[in-house]
Parts: sequence; structure tokens; C-alpha cells
Amino acid sequence: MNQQVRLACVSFSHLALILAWRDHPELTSEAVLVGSCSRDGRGIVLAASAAAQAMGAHIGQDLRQAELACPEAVRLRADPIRMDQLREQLRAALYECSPLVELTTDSQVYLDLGGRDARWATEAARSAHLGRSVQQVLGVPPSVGVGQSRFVALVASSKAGPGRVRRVPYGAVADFLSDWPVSMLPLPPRTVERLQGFGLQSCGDCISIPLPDLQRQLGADGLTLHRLCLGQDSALISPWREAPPCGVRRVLAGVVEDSESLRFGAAELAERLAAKLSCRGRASGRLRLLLLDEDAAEGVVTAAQPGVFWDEIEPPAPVATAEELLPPILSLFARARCRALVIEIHALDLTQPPATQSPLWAVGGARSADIGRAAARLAQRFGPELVWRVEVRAGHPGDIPEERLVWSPG
Amino acid sequence: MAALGRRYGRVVVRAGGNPNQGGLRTGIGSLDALFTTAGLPRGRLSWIGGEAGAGSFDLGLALLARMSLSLPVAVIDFDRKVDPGDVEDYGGELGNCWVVRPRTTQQGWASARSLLQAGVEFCLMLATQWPSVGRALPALLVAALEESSGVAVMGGGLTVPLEVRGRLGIELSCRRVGWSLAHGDVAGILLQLLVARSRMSPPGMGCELRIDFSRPYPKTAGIVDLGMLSSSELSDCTTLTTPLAVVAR
Repeated sequence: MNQQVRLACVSFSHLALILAWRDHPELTSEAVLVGSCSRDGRGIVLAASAAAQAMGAHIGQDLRQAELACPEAVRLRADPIRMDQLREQLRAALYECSPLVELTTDSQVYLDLGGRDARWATEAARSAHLGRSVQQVLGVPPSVGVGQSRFVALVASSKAGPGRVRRVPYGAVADFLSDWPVSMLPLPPRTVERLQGFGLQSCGDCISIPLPDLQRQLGADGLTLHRLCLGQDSALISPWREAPPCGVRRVLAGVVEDSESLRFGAAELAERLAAKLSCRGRASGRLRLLLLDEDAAEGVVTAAQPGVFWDEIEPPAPVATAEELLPPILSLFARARCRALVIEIHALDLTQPPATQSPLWAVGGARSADIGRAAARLAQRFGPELVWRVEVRAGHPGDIPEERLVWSPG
Repeated sequence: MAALGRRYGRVVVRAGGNPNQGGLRTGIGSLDALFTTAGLPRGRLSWIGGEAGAGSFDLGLALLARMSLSLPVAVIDFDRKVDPGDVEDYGGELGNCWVVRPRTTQQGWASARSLLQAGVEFCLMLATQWPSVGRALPALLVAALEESSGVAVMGGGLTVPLEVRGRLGIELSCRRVGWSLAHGDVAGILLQLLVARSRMSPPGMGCELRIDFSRPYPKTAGIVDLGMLSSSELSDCTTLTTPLAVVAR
């Protein structure tokens, strides 16, 4: 094993729960369920406080089942926008401590603490600073574990407890893990059952068994178990990296000066870009148009470069299909004031495509979502008071249209 | 052709309208019989014109109400004067109706195109006058219609700009011939509808309709078919000599 590998695991309460506690400090020690909507439209438990988990609720559970398990729990709705903001703040604080950060879940992160950093003389100072930074952002004390592998760091974090740092030096891993129960090892349940059947309850018990015997009994899991008990799991962290740019490029036969002519090619560019986004399974939150003429220099293009038209647009919702991409692309072309020899359209801010379930049982309902999105794009382009939905006010509102009808933006 | 289409988009090179697209049935026998497609022609732009008060707005809204029962529809109100409650009064479903109130004519045409592309099947465009909008917007609207097989109907106005007229599939002339009275109140309008110009069939056919208003008898509001016009009635219509008549209900 590389002696330089030092990984830190930071565990804290779920971000959704932290936000709930910020809004309702009186609920800090109460049973709290924070619900969210899954992609198929079901309500699921996104976060559960310790009191709620003690009563049987757990993360990922159907919200109704969780409510049955702990009926007195306070139920709150997650705020994804504020969670994103908090996640960004947390990520910024973590990057202060290490350039390699893996935000595994909303309650756990891993960092690479290998190598030296001039700001901290020792690993202890660095990991303490890490804990303080996270506490400053979240407002709750995290538990920090540092070890030679992911598993060791995770166990160290679990043993440390909130507000503390537990570091496991090289050479002390076997002793450190000796009392760790096999039921908490990342192994298949059947393997754990067999180990318990053999009377092996902890890592210390397992490490006393020779590796060939473990492999004979457990197969490949035997080797995994042996390595885990020695803290030699080879899994490293997967740091977040910016995805390579996604875009399309079109070289025209000659310089085109009329933006109306450029718009004729928009449909083809939208289809090509949609195909690329489809391959990645992503949607774009921002589109960038680059028009280069014959004076534009080769290589890296910047907005201030001569011969370059550079414009961006943010659609009202992330766009993924050709039909969704075409209107913002047309809007970009409509703004273009430049000679163009090369057209480039880049899809930026790639996110998960929005999942919607159309109300198929309603008349025209399958198309209502599409029409609603088109109305939103029109409102963004021409102003909010363009497309309207109208309904008749309940009761006896009279004949005067202003009193009889309820107008809402389409 | 394929290379041109790829280079400049599908709009620049396209075939004529698909004759097999059929029509959108209105459920009014005489009105459907005016079209060879047995209904409002799909993929084409239609115009119901007439003088102010001729009944083209009422006819358009009554048709929109019928369509809204089974299809997503939109009304582009260029003059910002239409009362969408009329759709409800004519027995329509406002939940399926999008109302667009554009500030400029260009916004209205662009909105109609976008909504048709998004899935609206019947788009009613109402205006008392049709100012010139250039060639691109009508061309793009017709392209969207052909692609989506939707129906767009322009209602109102005595004339349309030349660039729009060239894109029309059928022109219907609407004329008020009288009022329907009930207990001394005006309860409806009698109108004649003539095919003034058509790209799909010889012009000259006509029908007579009665549109019952929602007041004072809301339950009977809607279009009543009074049958096709005979050749003698048609000749009267074309010379515009038939006097306005008051017909008792």
C-alpha cells in the first residue's frame, strides 16, 4: 500500500435535517421526518432524526410507512434550493482543506489528506481545521475520522463521535479494527451470517483465521474480509470533476451575415445537441452560442476576442430534447449581430433531466405539460402577461368578466 | 433537397400539404360539408372573415368551445377584448384552453406557432384588422401547422395582408342575415357562411347557422345547423343584396 494515502471521512447530520433544525430549533431533540418526492412521484424519507430512527423510520423509506412507524414525528418538506446552497457552502469549505473532495451523500464526505500542506504542520492540525470548517458551515459538530483507506476512515469517524477527530496511524489498524463487529462490514448479508455461524463476531476474530481458510469457506468474500480487517481496502475516493463540455459545431460554406438565415439551421443543431445530451442522460440549464467569423483566432475562444459573438441564455427549466432546445437556440440566433463562418452551441450547467408524470387520464393532459412549457418559454421571451389560463370563479360571481373569471399566468 | 434541408432547416424545403391529413370534424354537418376534408382542414390556415358584427368572432368562439371538450385549444386575442367566459358559456372546457393576449401582432403569430408545435390542436386567432407581419411569420406558422397537423383559424377582419392570403388554405366569408329572438330578447344570431376561396375545392358552397347566445338561456348556447344554402340563396349572397332579416325563434 502506498504510504502516502491518507483519507478523511467526515460524517454529520443530513443537510435537510440541519436546515429543518435551523428553521425550528425547538425540534433539535424531537422525532423529525424530512420528506421529499422521488422520481416516480412517491413521497420518501429524505432525512430522519435520531429519535425518529430509533422508532423505526429510516432514510429512503416510503413516507407513509415512516408516518405509521412513528406517528408523533414532526413531518417537514425538504427545500432543494436551500439544500443546494448549503451543499455549495460545504463544498467550498472542504476545498479549503483538500483539492480532492467526494461529497458521497448529504451526510458524509471523503477527502484526500495525503501529501503535505504548508498551512498545517501536522495531520492532526489539518484534520482539526477540517472539523472546525464543517462545523462553521453547518452549525452542528461533525465527526472526523482519518485513516489509510476509506473503510478505516469510516470506522474512525463512527468511533470518534460528534465534535471529535479520530486518527488511525499506520501499524495500528489491526488493533483499531479488532473490536469492530462483522455485522457492520460492507459484506453480503449471507457472508455475515456464515461468519456469525462460525462464531466470528469481530474483525479481531477474523484476522486470526489464515487467509486460505477464509477463501476456502467464503470464496472471493474471504479475501475482501481479510483486506478489510487489515484496513487494506483499495477503494479510493472519486472526487467531483467538471464534466467535459457538451456542444455542437457547424462550419458554414461561406460567411453568413443575416441572423434570419442562421435560424434556418437551428433545428438541425438542436437535434444534434439533443442527441449528445441524450447519450449522457443530462439536461442543460444554460446554453451558449458562439459565432466565429473569418477574423476569429484559432484555439481558445473568449467573449472579448474580435470576430466572436458570444451570448448565453438560461431556459426556464432544464432542456434536453430537440423540441425543448429549439426555442432558446432560436432566441440566441435572434439576438446575434455578427458575421458567422462557424456556429458553436454549448450546453452548460448539465443536470438530471426533469422527470414529469403527465396526467394521462385527463383530456389532452399528456400534451398539457408540453404546452405549459411552451407557454413558460413564451412568457420568458415576451413577458409574463402573454399566455393565460382562465377559470370561472366558484359560486355566483355574476356576469362582469373581471369578477367572474380568475386569470392565472399560463 | 436533403442537403438544403439539413443546411437551412426543414422550413426552406418542404412539400405541399398532405392531402390525406383529413379534417377536424366540428360535428356540424353543413359546416363540415363545406370542406372536402369533412372538417376544418388539418395542417392549413383558414380564415373566417366578415364585417364587424357579422358573427365571425361568435362563430370562432363557439367552434373553440366545441373543440375544447376533447382537444387542447388556444385563442390568440390580438385586440385583447375577447371574454374567455364565452367559451364556458358555449359549453366549452376552459381547462383545455390557453388564452394569449399579445402586445404586438408579431408576438401573437409567434405564440400561435409555439403553441401549435407544443401540442395545441386548434388555434383561434381573433382580430378586427390584420396588419402586415412580413412573410416569415405566416410561413413559419404554416410549417408548424403542417408538422403538427393542427388547425389554425383566423377570425374577423374584412381583408388580410397579401403575404398571409397566399398561405391560406380556405377563406370563409361570414355574413349576418338576422337575429334570433325569444320573448322579445335577442337570443342568437343567424349567419351565412360561404366558401369564398379554397385551395382544396371549388368555391361557392355555403351553409346557414344559428349561434345561440348564453343569455338569456345559457343551457341552449351553441351552434345550430340550419342546412346548406341552395343555389338561389347562394346567388343572393354573392350579390350581397339579401336584406337583414329578423327571424322569430
